[in-house]
Amino acid sequence: MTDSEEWVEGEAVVASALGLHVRPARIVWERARRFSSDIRIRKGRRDYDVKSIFDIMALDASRGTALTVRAKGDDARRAVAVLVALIGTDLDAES
Amino acid sequence: MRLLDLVVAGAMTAELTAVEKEDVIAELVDGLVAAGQLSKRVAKSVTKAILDREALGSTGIGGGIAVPHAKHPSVKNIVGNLGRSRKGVNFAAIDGEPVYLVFLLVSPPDQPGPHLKALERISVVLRDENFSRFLRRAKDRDELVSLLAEADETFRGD
Repeated sequence: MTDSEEWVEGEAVVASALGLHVRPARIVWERARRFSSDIRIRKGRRDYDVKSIFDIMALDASRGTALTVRAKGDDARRAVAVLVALIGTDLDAES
Repeated sequence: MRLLDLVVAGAMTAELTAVEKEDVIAELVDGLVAAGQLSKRVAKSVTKAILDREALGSTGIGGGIAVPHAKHPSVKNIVGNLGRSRKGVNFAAIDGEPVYLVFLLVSPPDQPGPHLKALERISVVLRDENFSRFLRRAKDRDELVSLLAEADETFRGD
């Protein structure tokens, strides 16, 4: 069977200097929207929908926070890889 | 962090009169001055800082909400204000829709923690479509305050 029935997961560590505040949250959200998969971030016991910018900010994810990116769908593997890398980039360093 | 600790009840307005984004921000900053949270002397500078940040990318994050904010050395602790516009304001929001609820935040320069916490609190409440709708349709400031108090009770931390 295809990947699309299983959750693909990857670990990310927030690298943005000021955490996932509005600017990085928006960058992550904009990128996530381009994938067709259902994409979540797990922190602790809760899942947050990466396609909701409110959910990303509800994470209260400061620099160094470890998160699990989970995706299910046809492009799940790519979605996880791309978003793990993006969250692990200091998005505040961009001017 | 409770929303009613973050947002100064005495500064809030359920009737934003401004119709342009820049004027809405100035109106909310003036509300903080009137409530004794900011000195009149720094109002212009704070407003400018918020507009500069807004120019980097709209804080209209969809669902009729905007979170304009800036760091400013004149504040020792994060301070916030909430305004409701009945008619809606063009904030160049990410969903192209007008903004009806504006949460303004002014933070001290070196405290990313409280700023992030404030965004978390606001986001947790506004993810709930009921609260979002109730806030938007509040009769008056008293009702806005009640709703925030109820949100503080309902949405405790993890």
